[in-house]
Amino acid sequence: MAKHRESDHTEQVERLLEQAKELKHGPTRIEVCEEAVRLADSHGDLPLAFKARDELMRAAETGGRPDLMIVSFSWCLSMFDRKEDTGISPFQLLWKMKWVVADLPSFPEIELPTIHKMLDDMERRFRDHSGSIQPVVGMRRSVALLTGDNAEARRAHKQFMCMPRSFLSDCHACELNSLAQYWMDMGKRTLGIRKAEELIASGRTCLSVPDSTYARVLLPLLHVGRGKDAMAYHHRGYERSRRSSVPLDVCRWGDHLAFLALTGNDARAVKLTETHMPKVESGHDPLSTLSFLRNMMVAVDCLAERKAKIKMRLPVESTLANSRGEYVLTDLAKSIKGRVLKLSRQFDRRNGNGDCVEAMDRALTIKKKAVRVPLK
Amino acid sequence: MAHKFQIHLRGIIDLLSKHLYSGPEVFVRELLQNGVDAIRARQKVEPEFAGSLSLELHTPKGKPATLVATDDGIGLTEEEVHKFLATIGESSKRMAEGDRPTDFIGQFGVGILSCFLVSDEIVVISRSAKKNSPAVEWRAKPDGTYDVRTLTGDLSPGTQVILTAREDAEEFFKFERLSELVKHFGGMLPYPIKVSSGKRNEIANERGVPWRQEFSSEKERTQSLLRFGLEAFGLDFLDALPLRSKAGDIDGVAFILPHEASLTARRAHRVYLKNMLLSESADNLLPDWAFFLKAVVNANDLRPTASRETFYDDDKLAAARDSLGDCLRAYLVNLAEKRPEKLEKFIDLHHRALKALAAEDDEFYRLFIDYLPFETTHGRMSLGEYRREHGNLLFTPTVDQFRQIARVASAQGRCVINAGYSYDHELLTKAPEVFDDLTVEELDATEIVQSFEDVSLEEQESAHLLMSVAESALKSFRCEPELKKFKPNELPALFSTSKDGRFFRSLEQSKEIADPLWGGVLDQLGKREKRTSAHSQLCFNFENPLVRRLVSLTKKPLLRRSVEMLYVQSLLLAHQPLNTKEMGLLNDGLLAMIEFGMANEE
Repeated sequence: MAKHRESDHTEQVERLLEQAKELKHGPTRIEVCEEAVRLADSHGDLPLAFKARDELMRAAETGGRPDLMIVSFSWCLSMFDRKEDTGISPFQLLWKMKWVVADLPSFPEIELPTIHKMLDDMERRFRDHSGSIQPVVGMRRSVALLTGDNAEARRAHKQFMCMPRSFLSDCHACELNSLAQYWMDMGKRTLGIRKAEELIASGRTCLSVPDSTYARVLLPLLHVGRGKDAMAYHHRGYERSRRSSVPLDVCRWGDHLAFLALTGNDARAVKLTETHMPKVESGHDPLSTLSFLRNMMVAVDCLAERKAKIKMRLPVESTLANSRGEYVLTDLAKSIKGRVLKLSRQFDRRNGNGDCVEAMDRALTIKKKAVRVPLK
Repeated sequence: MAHKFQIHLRGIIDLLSKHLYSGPEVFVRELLQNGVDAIRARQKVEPEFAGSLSLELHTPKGKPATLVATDDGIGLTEEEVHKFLATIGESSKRMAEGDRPTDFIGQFGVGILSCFLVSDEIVVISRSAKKNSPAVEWRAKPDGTYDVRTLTGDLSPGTQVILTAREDAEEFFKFERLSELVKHFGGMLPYPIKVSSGKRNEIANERGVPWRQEFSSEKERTQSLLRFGLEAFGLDFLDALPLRSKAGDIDGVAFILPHEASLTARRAHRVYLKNMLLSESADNLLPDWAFFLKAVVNANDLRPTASRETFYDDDKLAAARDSLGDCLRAYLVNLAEKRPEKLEKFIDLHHRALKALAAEDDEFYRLFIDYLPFETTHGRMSLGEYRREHGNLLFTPTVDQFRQIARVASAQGRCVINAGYSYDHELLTKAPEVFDDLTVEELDATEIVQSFEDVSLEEQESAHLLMSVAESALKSFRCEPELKKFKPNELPALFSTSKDGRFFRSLEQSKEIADPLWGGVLDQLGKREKRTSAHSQLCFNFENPLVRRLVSLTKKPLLRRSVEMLYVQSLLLAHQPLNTKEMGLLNDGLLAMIEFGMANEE
């Protein structure tokens, strides 16, 4: 490594940020950005601290660290509100506010009234800055879906669909993806699938769209008896996600996993579990973890009907792992269910409903739609 | 009643050219393309027919230069002249010839009309090879009108296009420039193309396709290809390897760059479509990890994008990319097995590319991981060397942590890998999947503290006052004091914190300035994991002379002040930004020292 002039912190921070941009999204990229932030902070260089946090927020949001996203955003917004000469644009800040508010429901410790107050604060800021609250209404819909409030989701959806877009609106790809998500979450599978396929056919893309769309549509397609199409999407989506520099959210790997087990592709399902479990267990997004584990529960339940035991590599830090690397499938299914139940209760307590526990029971009903679909 | 659009041809041509093509020089490509298509069409009827093209420049004094482009292909009848030469945007003769619709010109092209970019008049004289068809002359003007008349003379079949240099395009009517353009676009075409002006003449594509020639040995082929690379790109490449893919019907050559390539640099490969140059900057033909090379390839069965910059990203291209990737893999495996010196050079320059590939491809990982270099506290070494000398892998995830730990770790005799660079982290954590009984450990500053030597009971008792003062002084900073012996001796205290500890430091930092709403969010988030109240440790070094002095002190306020200053110093050494309270410690400490000094003065 070349020797650096320690005094020139600007150069050092810039170099770190350059280095970060060369990295794939994930833990290393985040740590490099954190380092840049610490360096900028320790020199009290506010504009540079903003710049570094901007990169950190991008890395945290894309690399599965919503907790860090929240902490960094809070700092930026507070500084911005103090009207210090920061060099940060309100546009950048409000754009990221969409991410951070969408992250709040991921943590069962963050209370519902807090989330709602935050939506109100967001609405005020968006109205003041852009005159349009369309993105906020879209966010209200997403948050309602994430907290199991279907009535509010429906209300926000209706309002959203009548509103014109603004310069702070999500891109078309993301809006279409949210729409597909809405219908699927509301149980209107056919409609949701249609929107998802519209998005796929349009060729529009964003950071994780349509990679996540391919995954999200798999189980609904099985439900309506379109296993073969789902298999084509599995291949395309999985391949894209593996190649992408933006990692797929862990909950979406769960969609692929359950799909593989439900279609009788056990070997590939096990391989997928081995590949992605380390990310799940080191994850910082409890809601994503819950969603993954729910699908893993379905997958292991499927495998248990065909086999008694299985050899599989699980990360040592996982509470599901044992040292032999061999698992009795019915026992494994039970342990997973235990974790799913515990997490579901935490979320239900926060949301004041029984949505997550119901979702757990509902998840297993898809086994009735299981059908063998060969990989190729 | 239906009306027809009024079209200003020159305007349309300009518009199309500006958006579809890179510059007026494309007229050369269109002339060549027409000639080649005409010859191919004639070969369908007369399979033995050889075919040739010529571009002849005439430069009469005082008059504008002219260019006569001739082919001895199928030629056109009068009816075909109307149909093919004067239609824009319709798939013309190439459709009739039964070509696949993968041909771009058949879809949007302006074909011969692109000659209006350099000439105010296009004259075509053509005689069809079909029996009993007289020669035809076609004269077109940029306003969209043209005349056709039949000629009486006995011409041999084929087509001539005659262009007259417009003032702003004279450079294209110079021998050097023209022959350069013909080589550029048509250097790989299978029919001889003669370029001439007065006494000067040459066959522009005499060399043929470098990678399709016969060679007596592998070595000779490589050398010949490297010479071609040097001429084409001015680079003395490290090596050259053939590329081939059934999907897309591709063949060509890949050159290994002689310098380190950036991960984010734009890939720009030279690609030919059916032997005619398509682009110098195709970027999606090779897998992402292959950023260490420059490729020159011909594809007969891929679709170009409308801008002709690159290929359309469809399933066929994906399949082609995979098989070209296989060619590269096979080359690298061969290198590892048979040419170790070359591999060494290659790794020296392109280890980042190999790391990218190893991260993506398990098979490749197995083969190459031991060759790949990593930075360690003992200098740069390959993973194979590290494993032989140190066994299990120990690493820090960032350059920053590496810097903090390196000094202490080295002093303890531990060899730590810096995994702060692209792909290193991913590659190291993958190792246990490949090597049985190998463990990988992420080294945290807190863990290094655990490995330090403990102090004896007496030593511990001697430091009782220091440690209890330290405990109460550091408590509000959520930091725990420890006492150990470690190297280097000149380090009085080491601040260490884990990943979680760092997160909580950021959280506290944000809380300091947050409004009540955000303060609430941060508080609730902070409840997440029930962990010990301490986020960090300050480990005093009993081997350090300053610490020994402190142990002998008895005045509590002085001891406390000293501990606070050591705490701040260790934070700064660990590159931790100070929060408001910590900054306060520093200021108070300095002030106290100044006051103490002044009191002594008086």
